[in-house]
Amino acid sequence: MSAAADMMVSTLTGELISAFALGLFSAPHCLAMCGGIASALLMGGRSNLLTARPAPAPMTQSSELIASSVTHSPLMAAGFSLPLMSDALIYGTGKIVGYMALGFLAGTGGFLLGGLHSSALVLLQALSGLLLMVLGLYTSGWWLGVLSLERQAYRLWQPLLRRVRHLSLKHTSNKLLAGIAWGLLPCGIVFSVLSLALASGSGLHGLLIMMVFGLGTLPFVLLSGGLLQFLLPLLKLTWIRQCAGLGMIASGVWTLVNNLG
Amino acid sequence: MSSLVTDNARMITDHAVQRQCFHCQSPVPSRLDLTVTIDGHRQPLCCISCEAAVQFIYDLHLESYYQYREQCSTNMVADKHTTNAEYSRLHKALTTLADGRQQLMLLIPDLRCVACVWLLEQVLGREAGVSEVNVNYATRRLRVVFDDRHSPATLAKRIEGLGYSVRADLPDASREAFTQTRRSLLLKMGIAGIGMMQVMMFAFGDYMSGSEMEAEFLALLRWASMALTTPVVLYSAWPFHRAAWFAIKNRTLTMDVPVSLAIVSAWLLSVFNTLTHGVEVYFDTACMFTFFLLIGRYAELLSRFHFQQSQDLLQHLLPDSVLRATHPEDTDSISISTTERVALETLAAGDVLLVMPGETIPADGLVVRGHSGVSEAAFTGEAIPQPKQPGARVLAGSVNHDGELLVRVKCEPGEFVIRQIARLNEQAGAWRPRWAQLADRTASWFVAAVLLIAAAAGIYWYQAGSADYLVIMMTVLVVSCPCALSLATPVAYSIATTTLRKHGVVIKHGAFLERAADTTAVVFDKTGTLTEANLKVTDIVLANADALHGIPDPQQMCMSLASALEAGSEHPIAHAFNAPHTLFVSNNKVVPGYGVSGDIDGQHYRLGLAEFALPQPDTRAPQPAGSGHWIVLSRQQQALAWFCLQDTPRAEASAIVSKLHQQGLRTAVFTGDRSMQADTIRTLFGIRDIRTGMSPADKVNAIRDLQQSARVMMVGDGINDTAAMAAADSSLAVTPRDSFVQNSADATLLSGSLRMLPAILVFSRKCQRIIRQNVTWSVVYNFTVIPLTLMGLVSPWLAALGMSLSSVLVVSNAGRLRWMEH
Repeated sequence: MSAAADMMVSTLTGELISAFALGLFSAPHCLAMCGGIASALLMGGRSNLLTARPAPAPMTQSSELIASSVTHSPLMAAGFSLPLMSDALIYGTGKIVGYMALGFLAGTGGFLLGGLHSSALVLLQALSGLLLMVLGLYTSGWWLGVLSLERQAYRLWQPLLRRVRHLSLKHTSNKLLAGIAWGLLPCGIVFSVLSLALASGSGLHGLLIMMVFGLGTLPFVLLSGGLLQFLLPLLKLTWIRQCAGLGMIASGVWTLVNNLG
Repeated sequence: MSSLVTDNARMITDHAVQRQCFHCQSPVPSRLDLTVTIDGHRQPLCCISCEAAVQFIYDLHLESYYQYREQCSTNMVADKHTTNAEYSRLHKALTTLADGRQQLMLLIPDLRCVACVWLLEQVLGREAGVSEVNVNYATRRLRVVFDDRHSPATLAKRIEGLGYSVRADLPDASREAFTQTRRSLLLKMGIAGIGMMQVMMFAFGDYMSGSEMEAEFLALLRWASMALTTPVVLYSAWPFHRAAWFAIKNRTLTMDVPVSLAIVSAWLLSVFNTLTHGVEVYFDTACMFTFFLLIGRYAELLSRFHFQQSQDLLQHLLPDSVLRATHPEDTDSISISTTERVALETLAAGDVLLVMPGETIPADGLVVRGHSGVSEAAFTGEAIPQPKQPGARVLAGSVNHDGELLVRVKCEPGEFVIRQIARLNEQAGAWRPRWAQLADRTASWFVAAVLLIAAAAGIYWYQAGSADYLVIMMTVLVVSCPCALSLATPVAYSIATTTLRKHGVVIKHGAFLERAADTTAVVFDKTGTLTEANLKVTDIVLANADALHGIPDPQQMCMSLASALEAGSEHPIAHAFNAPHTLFVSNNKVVPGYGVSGDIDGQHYRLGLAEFALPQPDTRAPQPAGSGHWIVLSRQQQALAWFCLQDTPRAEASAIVSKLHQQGLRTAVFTGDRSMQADTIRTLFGIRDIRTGMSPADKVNAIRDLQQSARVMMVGDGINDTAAMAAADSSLAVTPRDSFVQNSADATLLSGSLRMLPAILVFSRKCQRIIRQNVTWSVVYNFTVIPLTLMGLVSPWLAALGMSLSSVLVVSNAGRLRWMEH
């Protein structure tokens, strides 16, 4: 077996282990955050459930969505019902498309960087290890540094994201667009997987990594509306958060040692 | 701009011991000051992701999600009952039947498959002293009728011994149990999903690297997979293991047995190979089986949830408490200050209730004071309010729109029509055709065959030298599970029953839908079906010009005399004589079947059939010719006038008949009365086959004759033609809403209108078509996939995915029965 092939395998394994650690330790927060969005989208602003409520907040510039939302009986909206599954698939597809676009960009960036210098990819892997550690520190509540990174990224494409204001979620194409925007929301976990895509050094690989990641998140983000209710009590336990954080830091260290050592 | 302002400014947060993120509800680190201002309130956020998420949701105008979430989480807090408390609640679900036997309604939340239904029915049915057991798979309710050899607690313990949990069937209990099942299933699915994703990632890595992965990495991946798979197998797949264990303990085989066997063996083999550095691990297979089978379960649960909720809606229509008058005898002085608020269940016949405008009428009864429009949408699907005045009947569950009503309660709360409908609906929804019952009974043989086939396949592939023999065996076990088949019928029936009920059709016998679909001939009983059973005087022929000589309006005079005589009668004929009069009648008598008699101004009058009113036929005044029901008024046994009575045809009847003809159905009228001649009926309704003047026995014979060449549906009022209805293949009653319980038909049209008849026939055919599609699909699926799996052509993930998709398909196909065209 050639040394190059050996390194390839080892790299891939490293990537997979990082991805696993990310998924495992970040799943609770991912569920809570994306699950909320999924539930909100699937409810489709069925505000007629809440007739007792005063008119929507002033930020609703056009009330067209509320006016146009299909009148479902409370029976249908109270639980997930099968017609919602098609909506869920549309949003999910959009989200994955968003991820794939990001992955392609990151992978292409990695390719360009890798062309500049041969050790660039190793550095990028080290970067993703660092990112993991920072995320771990945030999860455990010890250091909130990652927020500034998220904030910078969010500033960058916030104007783009806010264009969803003009979408009325009546049409499939608009739902798809909203799904793509969902995929582009800033999220530490997505950044970490993106750093893997970056380190893969190929646009196609980046795209695939992000697609697989998106597919992986899909099934249970879609089912998470009810799941949230059970996970919340767990999330409130400090030791669980600290364990998850430690786990992420450990895998970050592992990635670093594996790549630099 | 917007009122949503992100605020990063530092602020002292001493009040927030454990703040929750507004979006994701996770705790916010105490040093973090990230907030969002919504409707003037600062809400904490835990990270930029959540900030972006809030912005995203507001941008899409989906903010009602947050309010909805709050409502949900308050609803989630339900009190839990311990088993002991549950036992003490059992007596609340107990009713005593008329013959002294006890009826217990129980809720079995963990009823898993139709084989469980069979098991429960068999085991309880064999107990001495238990006379009836019905289990409704769709609502998970068990109804058992027993005598004093049992108590609710002994029966509950017997059921628990079979591995099921027991709850008293109170409306809240079902809802609560349902929510719990749903929550635990979601949690199990979530865990299986997470496990599956991660384990598959590892398997993917293993696959990507071919066999070149270093041994230490491989071992690491396997250990990690094992750590992830173990909770999936032990927790998420627990329902399967538990069910399988109890099935084996009770010496039967249910579908859970092969499923559980496949999951456990995949896991055990992999654990063994991990520990011993063996060739292959199947952790991904175990996770996938669990996850996909749980998806199938979830789809089933949702469809059941729908039925359950519509059932609950029927029960929950009624308010918990009502305003009861403290002095019911003095109805004029009752006002809100002379009422007390009492629980609905404590009502008794004779109580007088005050119903305010906008309230739901809480009891069946008669209006004693007040005028109002009342909407009976719950019964007829028709929301337009009907006027109600003193003397009118009202039904519990209808809505009082305009005025204040005083209602005198007619019966106990358990006897309210709406409750009877709920019970019937449930019984009908649980019905399964004979072949489906047969399939349930033979299910355990099928499972045994599956186990044998799987073993044989394993042995064959092992000796053939295939490395995949274990995978093939496990796949056979999972793929042959007839989950979709077991869902095919019950889901469709429960949804169809609910849909029909929403359109004002109550099914009493589950076989109705099946038989109605085969109908090729519809037989009407005329009175009250094609006509409104509302007799009117259409002709008056004066018989004795001499006796009435000198009276300015002799016809009016006769009408007044007849009205005076009939005033004391409740017979439908009496309603035809409603002319104003000031005459006083003494010795007023009703002779059932013949007519009425009485003395006016010292002279004896009789009104009725000729042989009653004219003991000696009056040759001077014979019965006039012409169709219709003729009765005669006599004075001192001398004919005064003949009255012709005719029924009013229903406005929609002829249109309905022509719609039936368009559907290619034969129609006929078999009627007992002679008041309308065949020709008249023919012209009025367009029906060709008409027989009048039939006795009940004639009707039965005529229906038997017709059955030689057709499947017959009898449409009548359900009261006068019991024998004919029993003889027909299916029967439908068109009846006033409050008398529907007494009729003997398989189904009842509550709207009192024939308008739905063609739609019901179309719907029943749709229902049968969907059931047939479901059954065909599941049988074809199982019987094509099993051989392919045996040949080793189906990979485990495909098998598991196919299984769950097949269940989802069957359930969604049945979901089409939620709509009814009319």
